[in-house]
Amino acid sequence: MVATNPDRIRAASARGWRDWWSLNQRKVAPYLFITPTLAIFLVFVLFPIAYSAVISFFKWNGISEPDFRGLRNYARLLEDPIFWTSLQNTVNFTLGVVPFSMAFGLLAALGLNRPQLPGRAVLRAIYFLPFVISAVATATTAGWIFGDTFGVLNKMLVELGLKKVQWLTNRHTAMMTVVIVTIWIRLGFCMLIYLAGLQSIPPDLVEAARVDGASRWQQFRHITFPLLKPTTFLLVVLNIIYSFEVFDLVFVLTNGGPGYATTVLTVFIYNSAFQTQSVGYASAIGIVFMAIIMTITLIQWRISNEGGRIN
Amino acid sequence: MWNPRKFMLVVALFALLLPASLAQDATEITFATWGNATEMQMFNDMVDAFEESHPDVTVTLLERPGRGYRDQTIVEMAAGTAPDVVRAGFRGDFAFYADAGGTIDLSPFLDGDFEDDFFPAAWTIASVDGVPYGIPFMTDTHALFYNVDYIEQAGITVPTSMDECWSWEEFSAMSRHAMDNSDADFGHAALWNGKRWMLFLYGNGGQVLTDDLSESAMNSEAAIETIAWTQSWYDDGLAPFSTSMKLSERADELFINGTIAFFISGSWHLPNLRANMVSQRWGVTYLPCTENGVDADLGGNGFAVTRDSENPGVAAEFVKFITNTENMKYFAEQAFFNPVRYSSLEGLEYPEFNDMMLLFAEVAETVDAHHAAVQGLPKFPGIQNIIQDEVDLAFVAGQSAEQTAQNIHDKINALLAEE
Repeated sequence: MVATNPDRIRAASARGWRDWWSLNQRKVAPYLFITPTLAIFLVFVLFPIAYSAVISFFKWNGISEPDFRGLRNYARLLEDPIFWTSLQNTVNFTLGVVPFSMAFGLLAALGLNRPQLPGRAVLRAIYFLPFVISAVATATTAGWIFGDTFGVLNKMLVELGLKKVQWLTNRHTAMMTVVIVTIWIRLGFCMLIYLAGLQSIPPDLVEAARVDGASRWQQFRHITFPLLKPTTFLLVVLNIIYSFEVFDLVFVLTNGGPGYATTVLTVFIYNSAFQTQSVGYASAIGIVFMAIIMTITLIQWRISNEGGRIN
Repeated sequence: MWNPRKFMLVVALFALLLPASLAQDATEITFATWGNATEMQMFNDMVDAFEESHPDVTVTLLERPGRGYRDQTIVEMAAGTAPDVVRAGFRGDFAFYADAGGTIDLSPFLDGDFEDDFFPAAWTIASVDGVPYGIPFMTDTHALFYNVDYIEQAGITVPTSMDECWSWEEFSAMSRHAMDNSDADFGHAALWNGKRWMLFLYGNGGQVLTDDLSESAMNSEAAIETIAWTQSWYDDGLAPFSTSMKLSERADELFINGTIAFFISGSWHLPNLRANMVSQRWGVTYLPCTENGVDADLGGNGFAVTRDSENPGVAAEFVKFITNTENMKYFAEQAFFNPVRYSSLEGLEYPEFNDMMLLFAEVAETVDAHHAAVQGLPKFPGIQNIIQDEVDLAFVAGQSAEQTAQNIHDKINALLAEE
């Protein structure tokens, strides 16, 4: 039977499509794979950021028609002492959380990496648990531990004949307490990433150093730690970004108080947007905040790339 | 010719189309509220009763947490997806929603004399420039809870009438006396926010704003005195720092577990105290007062219809139904609040704590009219936030009362000057 014209066209078209696909498959396929993530990123990240950037030029209470104000929100921000206090608090929080959570995480990972340690799996789970639980639940639990009057910790101090400490209600100690709680949460995460890093180090390198007479400290100092450099870098980046974005923990534990002692930028943004209904101003703070995080990330990226070239 | 298959097909099609045609006539509205288990049960009962009397209407009850309710409502109004009926607090919510265009004027749905049955302060708060943007539902106020065991240990006699109310100095002395002579670790605490602090300011003859509500009046002696007195609770060790404005421990929990002898808060704690404060006895008396008189915290809320409602007439009818005399009275009696309709007061009898609730009602009557007007302003949430932040600095960070009053004054004026 002779094929009709449309049949031929369809066959040629199918052939053409197959030829095109076999030629371009390698180029096109990656885009198809990233399309779902890209779509989510565009809708839930990029669009809100762009919208925030637009809103930051307006005075807006969140419901009525926005009123264009040019750069006035940004000018107000520069003169707002609470903004600078919040920024300082965010930096202090980050400086407290990042090095200590990583140092304790590394210690825990080194200890739990030893195969002969009994109950290793259970201990890993215990360290990791605060990270998996919702920050609101962790903060509530921390509130019961560090509470002034019926907190477990103060009860223990009194039992030991010591004085109670104003963990959350003194402006000099409140930030330290928030940092301690955050280290408790982040320690498990740092431990897990370091464990993965430790397990990727070839055992024969450490073994060779041991045979050559290197002490445990020398093995760690000259072999383990340098080989963990990529892991350490990854953790520095992730922890800094996390520390800058912390909100739920502070909101539940101290609500930014006492005074403004623990008001970090995210809490200030929330208060501006939902307490005083200055959505345009909150957006301006958010945009400046994003610029700060991007600058830090770019610097880290640059350092990382240079480190990579040296290696 | 009879064909059973065809017949079945016609019947099935008819069955499919029938609900669709009925659905076209049915009106659906959504009603979002917060509440504990008892309150939600009452709202469910009211919804059922409304649907029974309006067979063509379906009301979907959306239960939401109290904390964050306002945030969610604002976001939904901005997105144009707010529920038909929302709950609004006596913290400037009615005016803010109305000012921003989120809720509608209810006067076309109300009779001319509708407002006559409502307490003027509550009706004022739910209105903007005399136009009702909501209907108030209930009110609550503060009084002084005390631990009976502790005051007996300390030999303290509490006031039995408003005329006998303790002065500020007397109250501080009693708090100290209870702390020193009973098992209490601290004398007293309040469950603060900026709005609640205002009851002492107005009780001391002060005002947040000038009479015409155009400027701050916080640079006054009365304001400085009020800040200094409440600050002294913490400086003198009478109240735990953890119960400051930005609290880290709840004063109600400290009262229940016997840490504090006196607790300043509202009637809604009664069911919680009954359920949890079982090892010690407790009672309620009048708040401390000054020679200037007394004032009361003006808590409460009501309901508004959003501009997103496709059936504003039905939504307004539903709001009128849940705020009618019987429903308001029923809710107040079961949830331990005060009604805001005069007609709901007739025969009002609480199943428990009747005497205590009458005391709260007596205190509620002392609310200053200017105090109510300030709480009805669309900018009140911002004013409250300023008071909260600055007074917290006085309580826990050693900021002087004079500086605190001046900061509040300047910040409120800046807020009011914003277009």
